[in-house]
Amino acid sequence: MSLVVDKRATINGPGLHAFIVGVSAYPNLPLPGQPETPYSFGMCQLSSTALAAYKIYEWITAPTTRLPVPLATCRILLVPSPDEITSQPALAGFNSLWTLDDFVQAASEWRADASKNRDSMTLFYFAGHGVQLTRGDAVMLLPGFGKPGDGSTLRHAIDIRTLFYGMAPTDTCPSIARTQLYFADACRILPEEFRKFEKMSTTPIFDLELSSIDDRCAPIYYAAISGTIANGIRGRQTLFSKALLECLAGTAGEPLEEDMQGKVPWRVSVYSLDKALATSIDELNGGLRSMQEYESGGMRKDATICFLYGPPSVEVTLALDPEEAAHFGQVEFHDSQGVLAWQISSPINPHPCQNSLPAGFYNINVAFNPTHPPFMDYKRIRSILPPPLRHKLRARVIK
Amino acid sequence: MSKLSFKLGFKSTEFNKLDLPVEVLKPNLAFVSRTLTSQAIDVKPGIYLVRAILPAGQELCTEVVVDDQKGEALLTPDPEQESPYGYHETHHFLSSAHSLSTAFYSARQIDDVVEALGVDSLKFEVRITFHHTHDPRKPSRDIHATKPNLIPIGSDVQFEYYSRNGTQYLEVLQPSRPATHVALPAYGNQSCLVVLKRLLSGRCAVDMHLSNKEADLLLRGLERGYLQQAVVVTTSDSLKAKKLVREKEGDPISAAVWAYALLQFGELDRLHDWTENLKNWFPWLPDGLAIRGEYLARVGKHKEALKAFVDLPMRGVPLFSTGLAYAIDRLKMYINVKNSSFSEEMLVRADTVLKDLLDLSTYVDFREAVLTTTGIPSIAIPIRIIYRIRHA
Repeated sequence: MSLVVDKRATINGPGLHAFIVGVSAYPNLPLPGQPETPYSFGMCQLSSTALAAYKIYEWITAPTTRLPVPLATCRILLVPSPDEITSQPALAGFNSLWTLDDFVQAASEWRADASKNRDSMTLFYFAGHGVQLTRGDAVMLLPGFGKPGDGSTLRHAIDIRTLFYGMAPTDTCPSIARTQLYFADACRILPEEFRKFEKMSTTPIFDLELSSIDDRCAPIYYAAISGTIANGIRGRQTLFSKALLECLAGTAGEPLEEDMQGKVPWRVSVYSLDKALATSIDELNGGLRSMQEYESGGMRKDATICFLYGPPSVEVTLALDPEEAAHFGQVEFHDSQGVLAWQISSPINPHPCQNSLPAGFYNINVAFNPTHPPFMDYKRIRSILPPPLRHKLRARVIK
Repeated sequence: MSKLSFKLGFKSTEFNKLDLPVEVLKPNLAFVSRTLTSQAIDVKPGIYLVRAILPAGQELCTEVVVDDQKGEALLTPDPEQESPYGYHETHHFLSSAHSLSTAFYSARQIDDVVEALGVDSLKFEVRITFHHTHDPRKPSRDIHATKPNLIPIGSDVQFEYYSRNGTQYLEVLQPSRPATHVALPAYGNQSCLVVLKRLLSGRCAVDMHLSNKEADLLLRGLERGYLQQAVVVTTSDSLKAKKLVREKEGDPISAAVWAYALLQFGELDRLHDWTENLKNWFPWLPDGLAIRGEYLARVGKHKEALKAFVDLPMRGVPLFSTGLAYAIDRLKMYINVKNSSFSEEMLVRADTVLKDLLDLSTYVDFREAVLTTTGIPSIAIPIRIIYRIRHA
């Protein structure tokens, strides 16, 4: 049901096995604005998470995406809302309601595929409602959540840590993929009502087996720090997925060593993504007036997530301080090879001034010719490298 | 090949000795190397770009020409990035949170333009207590502690803290806010620098800096997500395990930070026996057990790992929140694993320890590397600190 990409027959070696889940239209939760139910715990249906997951699926299957190993399998389970289907009609093809059993089966098959070659990669992405039972964990709610009389409250919920430990190398799975990426795009709040319960447990997706030597690269990227919320942009996508896709497209880019032809490859890595996500989410918070904070965990070894086609362009905004200096100063940006990349004569208008420049190091000169006390010439070397993709520079031209 | 070396141009001699991670690129942005300022590298003659990013966000950049024999890259902060005082450089460059300090410096620039319509200074009052305890939920006022030597830096206050023995906590009380308890990462003659920072919200936040600057840099790098830089810092001479983990001497606090970093980066080979030594030679350090337990779990020795974690109550709560997180995660897993060979007695102990740690975790702010709790009731008579700051 969930397997939408299957290239196992054609790939003879390591591959990427993706498992993508996005739940918006929780059938047992009220719509926004409708009264709560005894089992909704303050949550209602969503309208951004299934589309967010679909966008991750689009990225992973796009012919322009350059993965370090070929995409071997992709499993996707979505429950889109009507708004999302309107926004992206392709979501109508994922409209069948699936159950906990379907999820467990997909996870088992995903793990089985991942267990064939230690050089393979896995990617797990979940977007939907999330809660916490204890500080530090991340519980993801599946579509069956909130159904009265259907067992324990969290029967239709999984703890990402169970998934994480269930994917460790063991005696029965010695060749499991050693590069595993986890993305938990959900809130991590403990609902007040949960405090009434002595103990709550989620469904164990895998039987936990004690690991052998755990030498994985297995970062977990949490959309929200412990005890806080993650946000979605109604009818569009989640804030975290927007940041993540921007990062994968270039914000998290970093240069590698020159190749034999003198070309410089660029890539997104585990480490560069970690840094860039924090910056990108900060930027998006500014625009949306949200206060989402991201964090990472798991086992953070470095690894390549994808390759880029080249350095990204970076948007640079330059302001002179004080503003009055903009009437008299001239600005020049020279790249590290001495080539003039940007020149603005006085008066600088508009101010602050803005331009898009290739990522790199620049010699920035602000000159006052003729001199115009109290303003002083300004010379700096600045790295205009991602992250972020939008650099705001301030040139202080007065003592 | 020629030698490319590095030099720092900070205000204080102490900070100029910092083993800072740097990145070396060619003008076409081709990556050349990540190294430390103490470690010169071999490169072909040519032009190189050198960059260093500090945990507080400042970036040092320079271009260097390497001739047939050598080149030296001088990294200095730009004038607008400098710390106004040499003795404040640690906090200015290694802080991991925002503070009103930056507003203080900018206030000096707007003095001529802005005037206060009323009293232009605020009384800033916090009350602190030092607790000699291994668990912030069991406060025990250290009756030998005296009022520290406070140094005001703008709107912040800093002081050095020297530990007596065992684990200590700092309790901070401020008006209309719950008590904050922060572990004090100091041991023997390795002090820690405590900074009480007044944030823009009016709240006082606590920042801790280790006396081993490289360990501090590593801690901050991990907190701020500068993982590439942090990996390089783990290779610094100041963080050599032989130096840090010496029986009866050494710097177990820095050793713990180094070990936590290597666990996060999966560098199990570099840890090998050091975790056993850290656990055995410093029996007062709770983190020794947490680190040893996590290392054993990673190498598949789960019975021994479980033993280490269930022994935690004998030493107390880890000084670093990573240690607490490791203990909780592993104990949860071990209790739920099927068909394990753990004895019933061990599983019962594990359950008891886990419940206790989960109770503590409800107070813990896991964003802070040093164990920090909010909301544990205060009982002691504190030391009162009052000073005036200019309102920015």
